[in-house]
Amino acid sequence: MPSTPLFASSIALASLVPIGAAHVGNDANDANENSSGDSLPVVYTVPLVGQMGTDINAELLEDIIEDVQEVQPDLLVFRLKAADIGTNRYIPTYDWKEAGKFEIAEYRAMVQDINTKLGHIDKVIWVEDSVGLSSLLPVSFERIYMSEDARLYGLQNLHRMTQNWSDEDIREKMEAATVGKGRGFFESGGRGKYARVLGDAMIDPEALLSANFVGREVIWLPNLDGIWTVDDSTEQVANFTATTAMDTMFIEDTVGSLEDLVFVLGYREYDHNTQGDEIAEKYTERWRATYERCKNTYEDFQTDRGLGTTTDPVRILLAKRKMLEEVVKAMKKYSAVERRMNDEYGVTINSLEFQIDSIKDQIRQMKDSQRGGRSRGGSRGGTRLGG
Amino acid sequence: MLRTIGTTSILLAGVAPACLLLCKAHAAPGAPAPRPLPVVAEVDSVTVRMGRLGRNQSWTGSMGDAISVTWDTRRGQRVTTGTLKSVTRDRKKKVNTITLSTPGGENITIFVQQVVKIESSGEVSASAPGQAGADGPDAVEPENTDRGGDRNPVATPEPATSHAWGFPTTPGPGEEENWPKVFLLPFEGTVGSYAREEEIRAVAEVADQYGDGQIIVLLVDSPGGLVAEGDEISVTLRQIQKRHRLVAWIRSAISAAAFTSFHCREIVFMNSGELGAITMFRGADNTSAEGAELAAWVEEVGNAAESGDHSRELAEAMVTNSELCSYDPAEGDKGPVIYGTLEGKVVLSTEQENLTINATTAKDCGFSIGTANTEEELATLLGLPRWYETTDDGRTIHQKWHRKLERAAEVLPDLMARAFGGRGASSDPIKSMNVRLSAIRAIIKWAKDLGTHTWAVIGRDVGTNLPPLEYLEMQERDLSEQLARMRANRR
Repeated sequence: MPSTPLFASSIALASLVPIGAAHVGNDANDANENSSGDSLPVVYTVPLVGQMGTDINAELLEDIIEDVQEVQPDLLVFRLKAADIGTNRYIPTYDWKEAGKFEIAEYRAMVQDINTKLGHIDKVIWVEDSVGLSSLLPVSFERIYMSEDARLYGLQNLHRMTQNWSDEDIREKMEAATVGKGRGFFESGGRGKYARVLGDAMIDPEALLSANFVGREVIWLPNLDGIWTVDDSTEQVANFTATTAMDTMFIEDTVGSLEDLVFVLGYREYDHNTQGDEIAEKYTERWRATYERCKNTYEDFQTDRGLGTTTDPVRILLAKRKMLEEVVKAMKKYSAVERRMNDEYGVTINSLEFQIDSIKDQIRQMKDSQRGGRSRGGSRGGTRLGG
Repeated sequence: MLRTIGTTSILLAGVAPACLLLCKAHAAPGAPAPRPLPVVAEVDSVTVRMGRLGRNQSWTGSMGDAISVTWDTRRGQRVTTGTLKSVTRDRKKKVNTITLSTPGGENITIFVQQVVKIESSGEVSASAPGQAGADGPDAVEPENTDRGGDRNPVATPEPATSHAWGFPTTPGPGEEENWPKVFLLPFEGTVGSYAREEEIRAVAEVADQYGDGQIIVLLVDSPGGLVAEGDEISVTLRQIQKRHRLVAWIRSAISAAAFTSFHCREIVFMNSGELGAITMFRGADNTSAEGAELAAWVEEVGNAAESGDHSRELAEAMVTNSELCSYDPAEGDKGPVIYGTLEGKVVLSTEQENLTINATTAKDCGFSIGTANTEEELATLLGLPRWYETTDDGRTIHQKWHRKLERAAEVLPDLMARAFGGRGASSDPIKSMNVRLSAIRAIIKWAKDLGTHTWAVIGRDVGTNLPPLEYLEMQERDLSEQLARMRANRR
C-alpha cells in the first residue's frame, strides 16, 4: 500500500523539488535513471505494521526476503508501526487480542534472517510507533530513525512474563533467561558494548539508566552517575520517545516521511519499490479474512449453528467434523490464525485434530448401533495402533 | 547415572514455553563414578552372533578371512564381499559391528543386527555391479547403534562426497589429509526429550571412525530440561573432549543447555545468543534447590565449567543469586580475569541477580572465542579454510530423532484416548477391551522406545499427560486378566 502519491515522472519532479524527489513504481526498470542518466538507487520499503506475531511474523518476512533477493535494492527501509497501547495517555486503549505475541524465538530468527540473508544490503528501521514486544525489532538494527511523535516503549512485557513464579530463585532464573534473550536483540543491532546496560534498563524495571557523552560517543551507565538521566525509577523501564532517543543519540535522527528519511540518508532521488508493501498488505488482508471465517465456523461448531435441518445424528456429526476440518485447514495455512484461535478460544491444531478423531469415532459407533451391532464380516486384522 | 528426587520420577512441570527446567535431587558432593566406556576390541578369532535377521545364528572365523556378508538395509538386502578387517565389541565382549575391506579399497562397516548371513569365501570377489556406490560410508547407520555400543572402530571410512544440507564435505580439493574432520549436531529443544545424550554419543561414534582430533560442533538452541539427562551428557562429553575438539555454537543455551555447553572447550556465540540461568528446581512442586542440594549443584556446574577450561566463578553465578561474578577485560598482554567477587571492573552478577551472558560479554570476559552468525564465520573462528562437514550424520541423527518425536506427538493422544478415553469402543465389550489393551500395549512400546527421560517430559510436547511406564504395565496386566475372564465367561 504505497503511501506516497504517484508522480508522472521522477525526472520532472527532481527538477522542481530540491530534495527528496521520489519515483514510485513497482518496476525499478520503469524509470530508474535521473536527468543525468545515472541509475537511481532503489529504495525497498518493508512495512512491519500491526500485531507482532500475526501481522508481523516469520511467514511474511520469508516472502519479503525472497522478493528483496530478486529486486536487490540499494536501501531497505523497515517501517515499524506496532503499538499495543493507544496514544491517549489518560485513557490508554489496550486490546489484548491485538497485543504482541510472546514469540521471542521467532522474532530472533527474523532478525537473524534479516542480518544474514539480507546482510549485503544497506538497511535502516524507521519507527513510526512501537509499544510492546515490537520494540525488540528496532534495537536489533544498527541505524534507527523515529517519527517525531513515535514511542519506543514496552519491553517491560518481557520481564512481566516471568513474574508469576512464587519461588524467588526460580523467578530470578526465568528473569535472567528472558532478559538475556532480550539483550540478544541489542547485540544483533551492534550495541554489544552496551547491550547489557541498555537491555537491562529497557526490560528490567529495577535497572537504571543514565548516559555520559564523550564527543559523539555515548557512554551508557547502569546507574545515575551519568550527566543525562534516562531512567531513575526502579519500578519502570527506560522507555524512549523520539525526543529522548534523539537527545541521547540512541537513534540516528527523527524523520517525518519516507522522503525525509531517504534524504537524511543522502539520496536526493530514488526509485521507491513498493512490492514489499503489497506483499504485506495482501498477507494481512488474507489472514485476517481467513481468521474471521475461521472464528465464525468455530462458533457455529460450538453452538450447533449452520447444521441445516437434518435431525440425523450421524449427518450432524459429519457436518460438525467438516467445520472443524475447515478450521484446522485455516490454522495450518496461517500461523497468525493459529495463534489467534489459540489465544481467543484456547484451541490448538492438535486439540482440534483430536476432536475430529473423536467425532469420527462417534460416527463409527453410531453407525454400528444403527446396524444393530451386526458385524460387517470377519475381522480385518484389528486397528492399527502402533507408531 | 539417573538420579531421582526421593522416590519420585524426574519430571517437568507444565510451564511457559520459553522456560527452563531442571529437576533432580543432588546427593552430597562426590559424583558417582562415570559409566565405564566401551573399549575397542580387535582379536584374531571372531565369533559373530547374528540377531533376529540372521535367525540368531553364529559365524566363527578370523580376522583377515575372506567373507561374503548378506545384510539388510532399509532399501533391501545387499551382499558385500571382502576381508574381515576389524570388529567392535560391546561391554559384554559381544561383536556389534564388523568392518570389511572390499576389493575396491573401501571399508564397509555393518552392524551385526543388520546381518542376514555370513559365508566364508575362498577368494575375495568384487561386489555385484551397482553395489559399490551404495555400500559407501552411508552404510554406517549411527541411529541403530546400541546404547552400549563400541566406539573407535579401527577402520577409517572415506569422507562422504555429498551432504544432504548442501555443505562441502572437504576443506578443499586435495586438502582432506591436512584438516580435521568436522561434524555438526543440532542440540535443539528440551534437554531430555528433543536434545539427548544418545545423539551426542552417536555423532561422536561417527567422528571416532576417523580417529582422534576431529571437530564436533554442538549447535545449541535449547531452553534447558532434565538435570538427569544433563548428568549423562556430562559423562559422555567429558569422555569425548579427551579425543576430539568440542565446540558449542550458541543460539540459545539456557539452564541444562548452558550446563551442556560448559563441557565444550570452545564456545562461540551467535550475536543474538544467550547462555546461563542454570538454577535447579523441582518440577513437582516448583521449588528451587536449597541447602546441601543447592551446594552440590553449584559444585557440579563449576566442575562442568572447569572440565571445559572455563571459569568456575562464571558458571556458578548462573546457578544462584548468592554467587557473585565480575571480570577485568583483557589489557595489553594480560588476558581477561574473572572473579567470584565484585572486585572486577565489569560486574556481571550481584546478589540480586542470576547470570545470563550474551555474545559481547562472553567474548570480552574470555568465555567465548568469538561470535559467528553463519557456518562460514564459524569456520574462520575455528581456523578452518572454509566451512565443511565431513558427513551429514550429525544433522541426520538429529532429524531422525526429532521426526520420531513428531510421530509420537501425532499418535500418542489418539492412543491415550483409546486406552483411557473410550475411543474405539463398541457394543461388544470384548472388542472394546481389545481396543483398550492394544492401545496400552502400543503406548508401552512407545514408552520403552523413547526412554525414561524422554517419556518423563514428552507429555508436555504431546499435550497430554502420559502415565509412567509402571502404571501402564500394571494396566496391561489388569486388562489382560479382565479380557481373559470375559472370554471365559462368554464361552
